[in-house]
Amino acid sequence: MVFKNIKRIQTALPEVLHIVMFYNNGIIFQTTFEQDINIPKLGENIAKMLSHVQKLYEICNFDLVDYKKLIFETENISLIIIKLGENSNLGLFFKKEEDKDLKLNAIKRYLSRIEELIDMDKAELEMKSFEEKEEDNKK
Amino acid sequence: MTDKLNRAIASLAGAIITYFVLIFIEGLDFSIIVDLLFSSQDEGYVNLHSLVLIIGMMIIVQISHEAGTFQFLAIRLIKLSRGKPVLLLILFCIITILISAILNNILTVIILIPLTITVSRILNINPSPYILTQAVLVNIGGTFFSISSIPNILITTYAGISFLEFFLNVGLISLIIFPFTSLFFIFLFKKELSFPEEGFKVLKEFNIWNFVQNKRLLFQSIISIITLIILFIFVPSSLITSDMIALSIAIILIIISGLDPKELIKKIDFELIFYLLGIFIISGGLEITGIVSSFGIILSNLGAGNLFLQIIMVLWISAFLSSSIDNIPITKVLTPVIGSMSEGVSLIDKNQLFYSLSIGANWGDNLTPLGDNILVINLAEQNNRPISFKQFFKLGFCTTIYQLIIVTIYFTLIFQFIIGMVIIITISIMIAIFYLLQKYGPNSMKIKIDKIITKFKNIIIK
Repeated sequence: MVFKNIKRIQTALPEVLHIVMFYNNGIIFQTTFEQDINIPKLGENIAKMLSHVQKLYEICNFDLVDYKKLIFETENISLIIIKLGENSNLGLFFKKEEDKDLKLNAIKRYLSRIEELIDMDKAELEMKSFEEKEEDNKK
Repeated sequence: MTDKLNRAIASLAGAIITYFVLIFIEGLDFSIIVDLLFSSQDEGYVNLHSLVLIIGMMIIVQISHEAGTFQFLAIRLIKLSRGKPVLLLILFCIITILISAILNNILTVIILIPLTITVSRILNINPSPYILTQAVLVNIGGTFFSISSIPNILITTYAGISFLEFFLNVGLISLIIFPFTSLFFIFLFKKELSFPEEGFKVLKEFNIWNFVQNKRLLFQSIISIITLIILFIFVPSSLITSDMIALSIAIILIIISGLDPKELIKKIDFELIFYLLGIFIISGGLEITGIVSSFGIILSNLGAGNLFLQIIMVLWISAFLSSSIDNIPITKVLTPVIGSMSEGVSLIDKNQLFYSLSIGANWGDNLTPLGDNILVINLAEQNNRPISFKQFFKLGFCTTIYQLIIVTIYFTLIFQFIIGMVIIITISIMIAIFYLLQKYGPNSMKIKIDKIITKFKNIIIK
């Protein structure tokens, strides 16, 4: 289910080299990188990037309301980290091509599907427990 | 105290005060500090052996952690649940005690809580029952082997208890308590355990190899842990002491793993080492000044010289003491107390007192959500799944009392067989009557019993 969505993202955005689906604690759910890469370290460091930026906001006294994406652009490879669910993120490594921007709109629906699958957010959890309690009370 | 002052600093400050008391009031010289830090030759250098064993285990555990061994094995086991929520809870229980049998409690929860919350996100479930279960069960795993926790290392090194002896006398008790505790949790949480089938299908897609740096390192660390346990069991400590076995394997593992030794050394918990050094001096000071033996005499008198009563007393006193104070200093102070209590007692009986201390000091930790347990609450909060302090307190307290009662019955059965049997038969009859009334009794009775059960559950988990 999830892997299919990753494949669809790669089809929609052929310039994407690799995809990393990870949680804020550094655990990687799935990635297109092969096992010859140190995947636990990849997860640890990509998650650290987010927490470092968060800390940077704190130091500058900015309110971090809700991050949407983080872009790190270089001459050859660029990285975009997109927030998925409450604690999950998607890292896209892509080849930098001249005068061409990454069209993220094309993959929006896959993102929300992946989010649904791998990360139930707190509000949903609370709603679920509320419904269960209501059901118990009815009984 | 640890929130306000780092525990290593607090311990070293206490050690410095002890130093001044010993030098200027007791009139001793500096050599006493060396003896307290590492123990004297007459005492068999027990403190030094403990320190070396702890450092050796820290290195092995750190490399295994780097290799992703524990997360890899945990997710592999979780996948066996096949979408059955109760089976998932049982598997979480097994994973917890297996991991905490090798790692200390802090590292176990650092690994397991984020993993459990991640799994709960995938399965669309509330992680609280699983987190609470794990938090309580880490202490049961902590009494599995003599290397499972620092108190065990301190006790076994002091009393000269072998790895196998400890496992047969304490590890097996943990094995007996484990199903009782798991059943208790299933009884409490059964209603809250459910998850949609889709969640499990997604979990199956979780690539467990993502936890592994490289397969070679994973296999090396698994083989090292297995070798370590085999050597602990089969090599007599008169030939090679367990600390030297652990340190040798640790050094071999560093060399063959290809990991950067500098990075590994950086990750050694020096705070714990300094904390222990301070505790060694403070507890040694208490021994020299006669406080320990006075405490031993008081405890012996309270037990009226009856070994059975003394064992039960050590169990409950150490449990309640370690609920509010860290169990490492409690153990370090109580080991010589037990040594002085058991003068004239046979070696087998004396060791029973040490086993009782190990159980009490390890399990008592859960009576309050203080100390290490604060970490569980913090980790849950950091991962956006906070658990209530009150709920943790109620569950931890009730479960620990329940476990201590079972162990008390177990010791009663060993030392006072008839009384033990009477207690077991009475409890069994009461449970049977309760069950039969709920199943086949009149409707009014069934409703009443259901209400009592719901009320009981609500008191503990709501």
